[in-house]
Amino acid sequence: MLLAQNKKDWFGNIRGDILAGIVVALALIPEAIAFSIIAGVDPKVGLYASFAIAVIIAITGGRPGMISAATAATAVLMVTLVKEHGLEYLLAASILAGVLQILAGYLNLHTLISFISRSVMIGFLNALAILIFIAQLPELTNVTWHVYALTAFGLMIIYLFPYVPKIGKLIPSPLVTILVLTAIVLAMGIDVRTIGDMGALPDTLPIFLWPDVPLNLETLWIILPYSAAIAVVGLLESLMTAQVLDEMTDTDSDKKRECKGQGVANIGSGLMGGMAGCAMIGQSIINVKSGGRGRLSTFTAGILLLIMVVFISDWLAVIPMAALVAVMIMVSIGTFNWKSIPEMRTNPKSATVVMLATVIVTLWTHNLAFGVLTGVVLAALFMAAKLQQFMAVEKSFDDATNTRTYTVVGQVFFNSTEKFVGYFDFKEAVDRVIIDVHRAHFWDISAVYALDKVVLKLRREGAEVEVIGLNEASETLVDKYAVHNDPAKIAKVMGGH
Amino acid sequence: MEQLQQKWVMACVDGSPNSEAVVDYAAWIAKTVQSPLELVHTLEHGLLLEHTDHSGNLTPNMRDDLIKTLSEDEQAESKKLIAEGKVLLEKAKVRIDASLIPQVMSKQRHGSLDETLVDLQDEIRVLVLGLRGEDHAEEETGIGSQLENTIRALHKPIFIVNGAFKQPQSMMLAYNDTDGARKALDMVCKSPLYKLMQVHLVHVSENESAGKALLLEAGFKLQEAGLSHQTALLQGDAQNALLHYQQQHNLDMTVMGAFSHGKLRSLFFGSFTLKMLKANNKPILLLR
Repeated sequence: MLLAQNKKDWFGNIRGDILAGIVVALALIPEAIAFSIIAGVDPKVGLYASFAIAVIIAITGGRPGMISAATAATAVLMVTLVKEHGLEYLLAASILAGVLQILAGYLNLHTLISFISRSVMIGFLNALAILIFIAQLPELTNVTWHVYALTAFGLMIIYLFPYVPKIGKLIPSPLVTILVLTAIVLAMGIDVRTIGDMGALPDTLPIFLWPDVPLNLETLWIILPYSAAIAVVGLLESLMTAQVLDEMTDTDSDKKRECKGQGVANIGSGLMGGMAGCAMIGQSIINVKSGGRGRLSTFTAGILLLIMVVFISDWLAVIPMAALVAVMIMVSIGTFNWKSIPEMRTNPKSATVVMLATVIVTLWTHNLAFGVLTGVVLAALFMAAKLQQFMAVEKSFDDATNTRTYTVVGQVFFNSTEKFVGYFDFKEAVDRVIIDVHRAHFWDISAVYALDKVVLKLRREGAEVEVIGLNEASETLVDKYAVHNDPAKIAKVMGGH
Repeated sequence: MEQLQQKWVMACVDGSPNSEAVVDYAAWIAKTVQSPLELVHTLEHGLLLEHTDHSGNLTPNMRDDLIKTLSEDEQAESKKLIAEGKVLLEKAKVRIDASLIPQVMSKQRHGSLDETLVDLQDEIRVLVLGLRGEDHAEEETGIGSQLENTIRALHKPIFIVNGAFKQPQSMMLAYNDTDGARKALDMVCKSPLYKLMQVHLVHVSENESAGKALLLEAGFKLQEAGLSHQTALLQGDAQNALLHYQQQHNLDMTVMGAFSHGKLRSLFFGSFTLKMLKANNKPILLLR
């Protein structure tokens, strides 16, 4: 069963996967270089990483057809580590991040992705897009007009070339941009910055090497915060991208395997002199658009990338940075969720606040994990505030017995207890008070405590107090319900609503 | 839970040449054992590669646009497949004399045949399928490797058809000294399917006395169940001996248990079943 599925994942779409792999490899090269520059390392670090991660994740990943490589989301986390401690510590941090991700896989942490609401996800992508764009700004400041002209022309080719009949949909437009801009710069002898100016390019195949760092606790404390951040952000983007691909291709993926697979890929990358990475949402979409569906597409992309890079590294060096910037602006534009801007007017305010908070905190900290955490916490608070409204108390009075009855309906939990207590009139002098809670749900001990408080207070005012239906109301109190997916049991617990 | 569910004779219908025979055999089984019959057609989706383009750029809102395009492609494909399947199922229903079967239902499901079989596992009493499906007509191995693995995992009787329907008058029961074979024998004794058949109880062994004793014991059970039978002790290579015997007596079908160990285990699904099916186009029932 497993073997058969494997065969299908690998060889179910050979032609489509190989063609898509070529397109993706061509697009990966500029990105890998750009993300190396973001992290502050030589382009070869990102290129080796992209090769290693793509090839390994093709085998170990849980989502066939998803592209993983060096990414912006993880690159921005590495900047200070590289600056303060150098490349070798980055390699060690990549390996440790991989170990943490494998651990996360075994601990089933992928299930936590369900806490990430749509607004947080959109905020994540928008923040990522803005980070990628900001990273291009150094190449666009204090430069001659040539660079602006080249970049603008490059963007024009990227977006317009696909409309050229026939060849437009056969040749990747980012490749055309790079070729045309390089030709222009070489032919006209324009003096602009090229990729060769950014650091060393790969000249050999990658070799396995243990990072040259002292193996002691001190090293661990240096790299651990970075590794943890890389592990979290990497898994976040990978799992989100997997969800997008699941939706797009109407197929399922194994998220647990993906977590462990990302870990293995990052360890492999670190050992081959590459930085840590994760799934790339933009590239994965390009892969699907290009007809890539199986593991072979990711594998082809990784292998081709290495072959091309090693054999044409002399040619890579003369590519103007303007071409790279144009490609990266395209990635940024493509990653941004443009619909989220008009949607701000129509969506509930809380959704917009969550999205914007995710973006702002990310841009402020340069760490998508903090952005997502902020978004998730805010979304949970908004949810609690919303549920709080689903509680009311009806009052009735029986003159004959001088009895006041309070009938509580709805959700009582930490956020609604104050409101709950507020419904009771403690100044009223009656003989008997009945509190009927059988249609209410007590979600936590705050609710139980609030009820105790109310009963006590009413007794102090001289009333006989009786609580009805407390068993039904407190069925929601336990943390784990034995209801599972049994509709009858859920209906019993949630009954009457 | 399993007991509560209705058990069906399940016929896998597709557009392949064996499809009609599958329906006929399934109808015959359903009629004989008085079990409801379900005709299942699976909708296998393509990879939606129609709108592939290699322009390699990311345009604004491409994610949403691509999801929209792919969903539209899939919707069109699904509608087409469902309509085609309905025609097949209608044709199949016409072939069946429904008055003799407790209940006849048809069902369509998305996904490959193996996914479907796993999903419907609990509803199956006997699974009837053709040797070669529509998509695997050219494959030498006959049963697609994917399906083979699924069938291995499926603990249900499987009736494999490779040729036109002929109401079985005789059958060969391949028997040996394993739990799987004994279980198969039990099932044969309990089922009304074989009441009108001549059962050929066949065992392959070099050890004559032990073989005879085994056949005697098993034959007694058949007799107790009121089944008309004869026994045969064969020698030599199990595969060839059984094949030869079956051809020699021109038996209408073969019944085998899921052999849990021994030589026959590897033959269970591999070359032997296939050889048998191809040699004389007579169906095989695998019991477990």
